[in-house]
Amino acid sequence: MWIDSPAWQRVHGLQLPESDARARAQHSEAAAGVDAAMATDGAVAALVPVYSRLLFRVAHAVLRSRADAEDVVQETFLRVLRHRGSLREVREMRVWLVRIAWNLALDRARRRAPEQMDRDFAEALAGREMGADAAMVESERYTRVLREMERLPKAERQALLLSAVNEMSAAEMAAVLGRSESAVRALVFRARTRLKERLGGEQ
Amino acid sequence: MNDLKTSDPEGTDPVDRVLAGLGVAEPGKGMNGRILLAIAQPEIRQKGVRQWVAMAGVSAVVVLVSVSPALQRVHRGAPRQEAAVAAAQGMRPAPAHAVVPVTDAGSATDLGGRRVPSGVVTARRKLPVLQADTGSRAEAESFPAPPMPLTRQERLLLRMLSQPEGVQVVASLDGGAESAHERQEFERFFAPVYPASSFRRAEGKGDGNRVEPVPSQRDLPKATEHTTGELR
Repeated sequence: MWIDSPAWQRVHGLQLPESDARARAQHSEAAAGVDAAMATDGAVAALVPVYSRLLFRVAHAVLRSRADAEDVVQETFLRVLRHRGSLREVREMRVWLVRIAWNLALDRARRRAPEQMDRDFAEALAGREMGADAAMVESERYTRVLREMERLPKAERQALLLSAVNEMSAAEMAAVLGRSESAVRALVFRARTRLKERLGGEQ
Repeated sequence: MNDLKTSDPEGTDPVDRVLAGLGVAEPGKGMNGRILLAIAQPEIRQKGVRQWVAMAGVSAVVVLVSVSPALQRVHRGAPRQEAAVAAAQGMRPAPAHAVVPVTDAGSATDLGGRRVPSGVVTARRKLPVLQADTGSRAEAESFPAPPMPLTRQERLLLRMLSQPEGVQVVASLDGGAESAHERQEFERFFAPVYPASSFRRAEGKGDGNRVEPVPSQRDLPKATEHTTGELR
């Protein structure tokens, strides 16, 4: 595949996740679409199957809405397309894309009320784990957790939400948040502690 | 998996479970296709957006052009209405802040909110009555209605109604000068003046040059008079 060529990866500073078989399979599925698009914007189109899931999870951690998160992912790639001239200068493509998606998601989150999205997400999360009666009780607990998350200090909240994304390392989180790695670790720790204190009466 | 995720996602801690739920969220299956399509057709999309913007701009200009005269009329309409109504009623249009005396007692204020002595009221207070009568600018412009001439039938009806006995009116009309004038015109039109072309050759076998006069209408049995009588 043309995107797998070492020359292309060297040019774009892109390290394909060799161990991520799912990403590669998705990449193969989307190959037809990529081939259609690469005639004009091949480089950007090639990024979609590789990074779309990661960007989706980053946006979903902030928005807790699948539709909104997908919109953010699309907008991220469209922004990359607009600035495709500077793609060669990007050294950390993964962090760069996550930062774009992260900022877009935060911007979108400011313009909406999270309550309904949180309730829907909590119900979906509880519903796939247990029966209807227990799910209702658990959904209430999850909704309260999400509400308390929103009440956390901004830095702690952002660090905690970004830590929820499995694929992000501490170093990448630090790069996205513009802090040192130790600062991010401290923020996540403080956020968890504060959250458990506030929710202590219910657990 | 990052090393900051220390708790057990399968445990009972709701915080860990929520974070685990956020971490494993999966996008819809068609997301990549939609994004690739959007990337492949950005110019088409931007062109479409530009077209919509252009159409919106053109329609806004059209609306502005069509609405601005009406707005100007609305702005100028109120004083014109007052003037038109005042002119129709034979009075000079009063200025907006003028006060006019009225008979009702009690205090009043002019347009600026200043109190005026009892027994007088501002012109603005009186205007709504006039404006209610006129309604709109179109009605104000056509006020007073132009004099419409009566038709002949209307004049006849008027005369019949104005006189106590309508039958006499009809009888007087029948023998009146108007009817006589019409009869005279009719007879002059059908006057028996026959030019030479009214004679034609007879269609005989041996005598082809003999000319016979066409019987004139005078020889006919009073057809014109009969017709005239019917018309009358």
